[in-house]
Amino acid sequence: MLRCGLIINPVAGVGGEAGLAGSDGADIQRLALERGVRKRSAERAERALAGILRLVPDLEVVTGSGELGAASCSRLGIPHTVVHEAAEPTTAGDTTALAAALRDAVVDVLLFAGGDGTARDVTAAVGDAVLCVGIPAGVKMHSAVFALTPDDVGPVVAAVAGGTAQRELAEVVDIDEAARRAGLLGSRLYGQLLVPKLPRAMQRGKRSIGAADLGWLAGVAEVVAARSAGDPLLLGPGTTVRDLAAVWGLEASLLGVDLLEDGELTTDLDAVALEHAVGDRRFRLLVSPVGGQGIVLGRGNQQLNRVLDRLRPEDLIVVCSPEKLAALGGRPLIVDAPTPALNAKFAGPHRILTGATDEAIYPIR
Amino acid sequence: MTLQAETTDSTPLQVHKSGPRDYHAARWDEPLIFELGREGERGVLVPTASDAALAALDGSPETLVRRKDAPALPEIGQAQVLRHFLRLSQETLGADLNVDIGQGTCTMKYSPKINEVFASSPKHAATHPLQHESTVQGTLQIMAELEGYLAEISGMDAVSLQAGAGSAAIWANVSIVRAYHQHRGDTERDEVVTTIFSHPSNAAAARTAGYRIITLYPGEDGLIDLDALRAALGPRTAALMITNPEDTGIFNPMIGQIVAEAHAVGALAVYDQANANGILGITRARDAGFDLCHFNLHKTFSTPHACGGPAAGAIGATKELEPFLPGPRIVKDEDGYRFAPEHPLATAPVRPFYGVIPNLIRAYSWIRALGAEGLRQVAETAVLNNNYVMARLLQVDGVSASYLDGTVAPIEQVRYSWAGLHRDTGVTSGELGQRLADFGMHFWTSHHPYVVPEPATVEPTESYSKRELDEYVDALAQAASEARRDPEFIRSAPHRSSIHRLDAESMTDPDTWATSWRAYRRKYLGDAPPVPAHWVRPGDAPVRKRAEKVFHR
Repeated sequence: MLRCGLIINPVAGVGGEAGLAGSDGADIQRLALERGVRKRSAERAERALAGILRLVPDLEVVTGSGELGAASCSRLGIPHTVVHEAAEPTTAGDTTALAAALRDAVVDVLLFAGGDGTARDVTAAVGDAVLCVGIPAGVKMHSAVFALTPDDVGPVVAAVAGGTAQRELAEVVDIDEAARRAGLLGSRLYGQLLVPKLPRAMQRGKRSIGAADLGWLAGVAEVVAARSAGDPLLLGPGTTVRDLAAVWGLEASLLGVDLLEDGELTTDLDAVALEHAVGDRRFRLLVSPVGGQGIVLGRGNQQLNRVLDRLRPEDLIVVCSPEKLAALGGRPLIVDAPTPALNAKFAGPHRILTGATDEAIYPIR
Repeated sequence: MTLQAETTDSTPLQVHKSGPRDYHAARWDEPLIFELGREGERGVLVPTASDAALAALDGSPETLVRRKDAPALPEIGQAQVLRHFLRLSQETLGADLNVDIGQGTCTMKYSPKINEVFASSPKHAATHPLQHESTVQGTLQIMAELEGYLAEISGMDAVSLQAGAGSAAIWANVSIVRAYHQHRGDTERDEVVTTIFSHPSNAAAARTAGYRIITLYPGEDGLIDLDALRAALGPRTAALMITNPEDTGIFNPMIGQIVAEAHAVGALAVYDQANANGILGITRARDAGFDLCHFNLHKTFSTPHACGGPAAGAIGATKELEPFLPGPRIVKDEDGYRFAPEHPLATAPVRPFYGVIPNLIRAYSWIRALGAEGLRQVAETAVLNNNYVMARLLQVDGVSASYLDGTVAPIEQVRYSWAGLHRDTGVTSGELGQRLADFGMHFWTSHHPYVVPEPATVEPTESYSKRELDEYVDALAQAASEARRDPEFIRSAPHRSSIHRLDAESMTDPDTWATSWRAYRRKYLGDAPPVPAHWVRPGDAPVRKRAEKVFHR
């Protein structure tokens, strides 16, 4: 019998599809829901739980009421105990209170579905006293405490249940708002959580790889321009893509998804706007993997969720400096799309642009 | 140190020393030779020419080329010159002095001294490359026979010995690829496919020749995936240029199919066999279907590395590609050996004349001394030594063998990772290497690209005894345990070497280099000696994107 703690932050990630770069704060959450964004956190948590059930059928969950976990357990028919009752809509205070209750209830592993903000709340409550696994359901997720995708949670928990997983302390970070305002992507350290040491299933923390030099950017920008001529080009978030756009004389957003069409740049489109703007036309998408993590879709670019089904794999233009690719230490690039079917569509060897005259064939998992 | 003296026949006298030796390098703080001499100091008193001799020389061709001023050589005695260079030599970790298996991928091995006798024989050393062929028949015979041996070792139909180094041979290979496709009227091929753990010169030479480079990354087993390969290959692929075993030491058993996939799209398959030390007499380039290959004679075939040159590269080609080989081709007819007229399809020579003759002679002698059986033994011993070192080294905490999970044995080298030690102690692989200098050993961490974190490549070859291999592993193990006890001690190493710390900047920034007395005076003493005439770009010449090289010498 494996005793699992479960915390679902029901509003985690809503800011992603809404193009709000995060979901912290009641105002942001209300704004996101007004934009017609679906809450996906419970859905992702249930994907993870279903995966655990397949590998560890003898499962008991300890969780909070309703959206905090009990509702999801009921839907999947998992026996569960509620240790924290919360009124809905829930707040960050519920996450912390539930985490503290789970620490006292003594669980084999504490699962939480959310993003960096949720990880911070959990860290504040349990420190490094409880083994935790994050179900990735937030927006950016720079912390090293999450599984790569919800489907990786099952194998991670199975390794914990089987006693084969070593443990390590992993950093909990969140975006540095001051740095972001200055046009830089940086993280602040908020503490450490104890997580299973399983590098093939758990993501690493985001690592900042020094900025690409101008010559490299100019060469790559030329190739991308030639390759995407004539069709709409979506620009993913991050400094690499922003700096490439700067070569074309465009001021792209640092954290948003932008549309470039006929030389016109529209910045910061949300999922609904992107779906509308692209329509049924062929389009290309320019992204650069998150440094150190290698995630190309599903971190900080959930605005793309609704157009991924019509993106051809060959139209996914991944740009990555050789240094950034090397920093992955041989780990594959990761797509964490809304469904396993979409993940499978982009999986396999992919042509990555690593320079003006260089490409790499690198696996996407 | 433990000494065990046994007199019974069953246990002969043993002198066993555990752990690395107590070493300290010489430290001479030797000035530059230019600073040692004094004006007028002489080693040899050269008699002044008589008036009659001077008169006889007057108007002769010698006076036309005679320099106006004496060269600014240091004025110093013979004994002082000898001591100067002997001291400098004592401050180096030469190939004949240390166990340099830590210079993985370089294939450091013993260069038999007897071969120096052959190479320096005036029968070759005193000849000139413009001499008539009939007067250098012996040299030509050695070259022709060496071509034959290398053809047999690689399975190729023809061999050119012209390239002066491995990268020059790779450049020749790329030139042949380009010429071959051009000759067939196939102008659409602008891509070269390689792997991240093939020697970077393949990508660099192909890029220099104007190709786009498509690089394959391995899966978790260290091998390239056939699906990835197929995604890379296409009608634009000019060639597949790969190493096998790669720099990870892992041999790809699918190599035949990999070559076939390249051929299926009309590309040539080029085998970088610079380091063939683990496969000599076991597998051959042609047997896997390759169209071109090259050997570095200074790696596999024992010629000295000589601090970056001169080396020698041999190129092997199929019958179909033979006409494209660069340089003069030796043929034999009833009058002996001679150079054939240049084939109209031949690519441009990669260097003047025929090749680096002394190194060709050394490689020839090495192959002759070993024979076919001996060459295979070289490979088998090198592989055994490598696996022995790996088995011992992996017992050290904090080191792992990249891409090797125990199911496959590596061939001639292993790319280790000290990521574990670095995580636990903060000590990097490079810092560990500085400490190895305290044991009088090389440890090299230049393993581009840095895909493997905290890399170290160890290649034991066949030349080192078990005792030496043990000594090397013991030294590394001691350094690793010191890192756990006292990281700062490792970081501040070396403590017992000739020079204690080198500024990495000064190693990589050419502006700080002074490779001549003149450069030293200019860069460090503020002198402004005349800068020799520099090539001036014609007005209509294309401007390179990269800045012109600065004048350094």
